[in-house]
Amino acid sequence: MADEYKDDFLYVGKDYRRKDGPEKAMGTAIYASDITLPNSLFAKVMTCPWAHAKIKKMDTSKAEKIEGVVDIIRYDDPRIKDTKLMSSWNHPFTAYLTENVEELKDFLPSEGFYDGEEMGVIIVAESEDICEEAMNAVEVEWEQLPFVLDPEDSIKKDAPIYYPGRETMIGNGNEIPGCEFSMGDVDKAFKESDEVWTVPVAEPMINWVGAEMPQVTCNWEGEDVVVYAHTQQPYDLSLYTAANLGLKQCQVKVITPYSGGTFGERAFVQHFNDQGITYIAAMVAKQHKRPCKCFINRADQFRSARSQCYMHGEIKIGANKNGKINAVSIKNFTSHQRAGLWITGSAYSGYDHFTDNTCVQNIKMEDHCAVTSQPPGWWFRCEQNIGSYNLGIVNSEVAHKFGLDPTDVAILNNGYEGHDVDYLYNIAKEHGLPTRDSLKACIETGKKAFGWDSKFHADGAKKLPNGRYHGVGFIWDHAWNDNVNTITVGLSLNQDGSVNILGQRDDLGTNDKTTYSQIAAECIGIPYEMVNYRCGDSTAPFQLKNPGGSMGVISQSRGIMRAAKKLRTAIFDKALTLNLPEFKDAVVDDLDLKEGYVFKKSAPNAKVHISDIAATCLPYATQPWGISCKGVIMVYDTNVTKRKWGYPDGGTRPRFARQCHFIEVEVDPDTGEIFMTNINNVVDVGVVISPKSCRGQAYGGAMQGLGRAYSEEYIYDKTYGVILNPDLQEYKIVTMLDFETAEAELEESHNAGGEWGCGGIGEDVATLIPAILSDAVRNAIGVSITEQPITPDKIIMALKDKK
Amino acid sequence: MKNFKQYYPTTVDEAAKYLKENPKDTYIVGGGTDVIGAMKDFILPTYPVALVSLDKIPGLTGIKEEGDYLIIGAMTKVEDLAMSDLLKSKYTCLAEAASRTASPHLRESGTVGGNLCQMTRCWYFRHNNNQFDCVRKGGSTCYALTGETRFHSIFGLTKMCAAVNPSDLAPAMVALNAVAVTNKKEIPIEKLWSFAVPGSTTLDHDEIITSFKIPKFTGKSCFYKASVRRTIDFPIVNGACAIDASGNARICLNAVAMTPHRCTEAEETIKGKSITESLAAEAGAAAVQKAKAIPGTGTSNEYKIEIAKGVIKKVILGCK
Repeated sequence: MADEYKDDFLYVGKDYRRKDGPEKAMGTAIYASDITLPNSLFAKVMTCPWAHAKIKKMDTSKAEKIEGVVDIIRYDDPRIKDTKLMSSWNHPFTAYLTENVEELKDFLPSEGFYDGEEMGVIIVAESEDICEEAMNAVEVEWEQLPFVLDPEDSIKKDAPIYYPGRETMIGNGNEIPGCEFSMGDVDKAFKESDEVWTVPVAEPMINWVGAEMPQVTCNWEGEDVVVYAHTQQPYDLSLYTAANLGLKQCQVKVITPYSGGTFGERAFVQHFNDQGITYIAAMVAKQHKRPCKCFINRADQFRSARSQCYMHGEIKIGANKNGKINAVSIKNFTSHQRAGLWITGSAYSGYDHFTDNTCVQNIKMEDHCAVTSQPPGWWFRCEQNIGSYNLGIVNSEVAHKFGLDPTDVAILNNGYEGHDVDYLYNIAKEHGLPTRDSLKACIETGKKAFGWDSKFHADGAKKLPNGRYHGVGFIWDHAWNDNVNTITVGLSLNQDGSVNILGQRDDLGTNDKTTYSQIAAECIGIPYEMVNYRCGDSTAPFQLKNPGGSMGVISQSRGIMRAAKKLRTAIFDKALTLNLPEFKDAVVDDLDLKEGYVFKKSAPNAKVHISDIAATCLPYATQPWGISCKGVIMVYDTNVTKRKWGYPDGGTRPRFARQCHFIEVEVDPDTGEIFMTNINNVVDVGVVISPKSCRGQAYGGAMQGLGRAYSEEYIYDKTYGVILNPDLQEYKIVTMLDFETAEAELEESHNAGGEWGCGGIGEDVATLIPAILSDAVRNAIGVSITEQPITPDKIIMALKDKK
Repeated sequence: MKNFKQYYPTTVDEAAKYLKENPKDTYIVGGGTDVIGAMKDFILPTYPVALVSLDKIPGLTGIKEEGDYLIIGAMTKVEDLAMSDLLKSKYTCLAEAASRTASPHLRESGTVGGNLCQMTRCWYFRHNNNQFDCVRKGGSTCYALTGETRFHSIFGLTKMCAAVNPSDLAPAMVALNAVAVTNKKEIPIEKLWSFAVPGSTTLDHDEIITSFKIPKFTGKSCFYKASVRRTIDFPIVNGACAIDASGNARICLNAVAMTPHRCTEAEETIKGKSITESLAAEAGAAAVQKAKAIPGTGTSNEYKIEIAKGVIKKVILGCK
């Protein structure tokens, strides 16, 4: 079926040189950090150096004397008295996210609730270096206050209470109303299982590790402000900036150049590193009548950035010897600061990969989410980490417990909402969708590419001549098919027949310029070279992605398809007004557009180039626009079965496409080092739009996922609550030398949710991969390590305990 | 970072003069990969007014055998050691150590002298803006003792400091019995590092290493580095073993104490015996007999004792 569809494509499925490739490769691409306007000032905000502390006394006299310091704005400065920033809960855009209500956030408080929270003082100077020097010269007498780092400790009776009196909290006052979920009868299913056991699980707190730091330059043009920002949400940043500055949104223009890594972290404008630094830059620029750049350095970024929450807990599993999983009971503790936002997201994600993808009928979830002195949680590098991790660990545990092949366990338990896989594909059949068993296809492809059948062995059974243990690992889950509810995309036809895709800039580095151009070329019927995606600023009328990344290609493909249909109709309408002999007696439905030529379907050789039509659309040669049309997609219509539980909107999303991954490792028993020798990623992307992009996303996703499993973690001093590794040396992302080879296999089931059935790739690979390392390490050394990252200390101590 | 001056003397004496005249606020810079980072993070006891670069002084680079010695200029880039055919064939452990140091880019900038004289990576010592006034900075507390010790010493404290020496080249230099040649004297390599707090070496402020002398070596040698990452990482534990043609071994661990740790117990264990896996393991066990973990309140460094054993075993077997 995939081949049939693929044969019809002219531009989809082919590799083109990345449209943004040359300028990025040559270093000429402009990022927000490259923008320093003439005569610009620089601003830096202090961060709390302790886990929880209040300023008793601040002396800025030494900083004031440093040459080049222009202004110092303290927490007690009358200029900012009563200044507040928007919180997540004050705007309609985010009001639906949670029922929790938090007060407006103080702009520059004198108390910090975690190491890295912005507070205290802002230095304004003639250069970044002077800002840093002056900030270092500020003397503060701190009152250190009680704190807690572990969410399990935070909900205890004697824990320090962070926000006394907040009505929306539960328990001792630190716990956020979390997530409880129950399906079936877990207790009964445990009793009926051949084996019941509990495994500890932990996922570390991680950083987004963008190459480019958060920073904003603001410049006033009369009463209007122009913002140059490293953000994933230009429109939302303009909205919050307007609200904070008391402006109309039409007075704010946010320009987003290329972004040096966003991964979802730059999609949360409510955080101080977005709206806060924008407010600072705008305020300083206004007061000093000069442009101002507010910047965050690497250490402060690590400390102040919102984080992927620290989670630990346990999973109780009941299963039969054949690998059938009867019941899963999950208990998680998750950490969060500035309680409320999205934390329920991490909670429900703890179980929903079972409900979405398996026939497990008895599931229970108990999540305790509590305020701690760790940065605010956010869902960058995917909110589904915990859910995917839990599914991966359980599949692995069951296979190892009974000595089964984990690929067999996956196939046995594959399904949807407690039903088997036949139920899932009957839904697809009912709706005219393909019914190919995606997981089986992915596993078959992956096993062959990886050589699984010859490499899989019993746990701890293979020691190599180099003294290391050999292990293989497997993981599976659904392929990404999420879709935003609403996007808008514009297509404009130029005089020469070329087309611009119109939308706000939202560069995630995913090769979207190329991919969307391919989709548009295919849908409109013009050559790929005649399409470009030149992103606009926040005042652009089309918000192409909201948010991008996770749901990019699925959402955009549908939007572009709809806009393209309207554009084609507009072109045909115009063509018929020209009285050309090629279209004599034709109506719109008689015409077609292919490879840039309009023709009657009945006479394909009598064709007119699109430029001949486009040129006539312009009454005056100087008028810069031609035909334009706007396509709107409102809802992705997969509401094919009603779910009785789960998502806040009560919606459903049967996931027909799957992915799976295979890894080969060597573990050194003397040093605890893991050597990742090979990884094969198999993803059912529905339809391959851009092969290079898909493979690139798979490689990048594998690296990000392996980082989380293998080496990445925030390390805290538990006595002082301070982050010890806020830099790229000690916070260890993986490098290209940490694994030897990676191969990506792409499956095409035409069933992944987007136009033609295309789906996402990249984030999903990164999300699945962590659990695979636990599976492979266990296969190598015969010991289960389910608390990540799996660093040498854990392997050494596990081996020592085994002896 | 703050503005600073950088001098480019053309002789060692000229460089020493600058240093002598400015004893508190002038630092030597070789490749800059250590000191510049320290300046950016504001972690030096006093912020340098000036750096004295050794970059323009002739005669401080190169790798050559001369008389009874291998001579390595102190300003020789670490990458040159990693790529040297002479070292790969005859002084293997040193080439291996160099190739596992940092990353190719950093090795192209970092120098041999700088690598051996670098400051500790202890995250309390390195914490931005001198937030922790630890004993190495004149304070009275080693914060690691009540904190996170996973990368700290397993061979006790040095004047109440639990930090470790992070150099990859150091254990290889010790195994090869190198001598540091300075503008003032010759220092047997094991005497180069100081137990003193806050300094890292025994060098005077105006003392400059010009080269390293290694007795010509005709035996076998091996280096191993256990680390979290394969590249751009400091060691959890590293080590080197050199067994000369007469069968005499010199074995050294690093990242286990404030100075490289010569493993004489391991050397004694294998002396005069054929190397086998069990003998190497026995030597590893002997090497860590006196090791002791510092539990702290985070991840204990107990695992480092096991890794140290493993590293000893590997470097001995590598000389087989």
